[in-house]
Amino acid sequence: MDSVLRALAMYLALMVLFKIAGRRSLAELTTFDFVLLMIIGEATQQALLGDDFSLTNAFLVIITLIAVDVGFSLLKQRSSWVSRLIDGEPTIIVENGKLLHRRLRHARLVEADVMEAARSSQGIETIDQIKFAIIERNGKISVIRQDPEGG
Amino acid sequence: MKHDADHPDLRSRQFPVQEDMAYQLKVWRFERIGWYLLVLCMLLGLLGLFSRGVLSSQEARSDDGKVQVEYEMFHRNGSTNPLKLSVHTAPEATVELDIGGEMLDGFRSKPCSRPRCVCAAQNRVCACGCRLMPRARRRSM
Repeated sequence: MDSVLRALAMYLALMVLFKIAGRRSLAELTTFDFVLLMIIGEATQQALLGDDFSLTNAFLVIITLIAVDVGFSLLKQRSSWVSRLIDGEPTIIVENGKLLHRRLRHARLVEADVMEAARSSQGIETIDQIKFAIIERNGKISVIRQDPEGG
Repeated sequence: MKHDADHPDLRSRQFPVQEDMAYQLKVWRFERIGWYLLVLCMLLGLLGLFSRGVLSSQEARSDDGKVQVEYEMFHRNGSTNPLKLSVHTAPEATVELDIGGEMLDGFRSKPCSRPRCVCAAQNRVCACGCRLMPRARRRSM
């Protein structure tokens, strides 16, 4: 019984923690983020398994985690409210070549982050060439290029 | 925050995505307040609210100063903490230490792995505890 409860508690705790960290926190994985993620995994492992290293316990924990995950995705499909709560919404940060500074500040982003995404995804050189840049729900920045004749 | 929400940057756009900036501002506020809470937890953890630290480590002494206990005020479920009992007595003497049942409630103690219980038959009141008989050693100081 306790392994199911452990897994549930850990799932919910991690979900809240990563909501606090924001959608951007692990969207672009740097080498350091990757190491950080592994350390978090190590710290979680002990609490998830306790002192029971049996195969049954491991299966129970994995089954619980996947079941909760699938459960949430079903719930998200049914209710847009839950979906918005868990996944959030996309946010526009560049509009017609202009940075929306207030939004950037709230999202803890700087212009360099936007330009990095613009260069890597669209080969864009200056901010004027961006029609829209949007922080997607998964934290990645997607960039829409300005029409050549329009700007 | 009211002033902030009126800023043209923070008005909801309908194209290319449908936005609800009032909600997004709430999400950002949640992230900020959450961060404060995380830092608070970190500081409290450093201070020892979650066991092992200034707030948690305590020391008690009997009136005559012969018995001294170092213990943690807060414990973690499933974790181990030392409880250090110091008794001052004559060298080579054997000390009898009775540990009451309440103390063992909710804890598993290595030296008291099987506490003994004495029950009074008439009123079914039981008292559990364990008796330790350590031998005093000469302190090399």
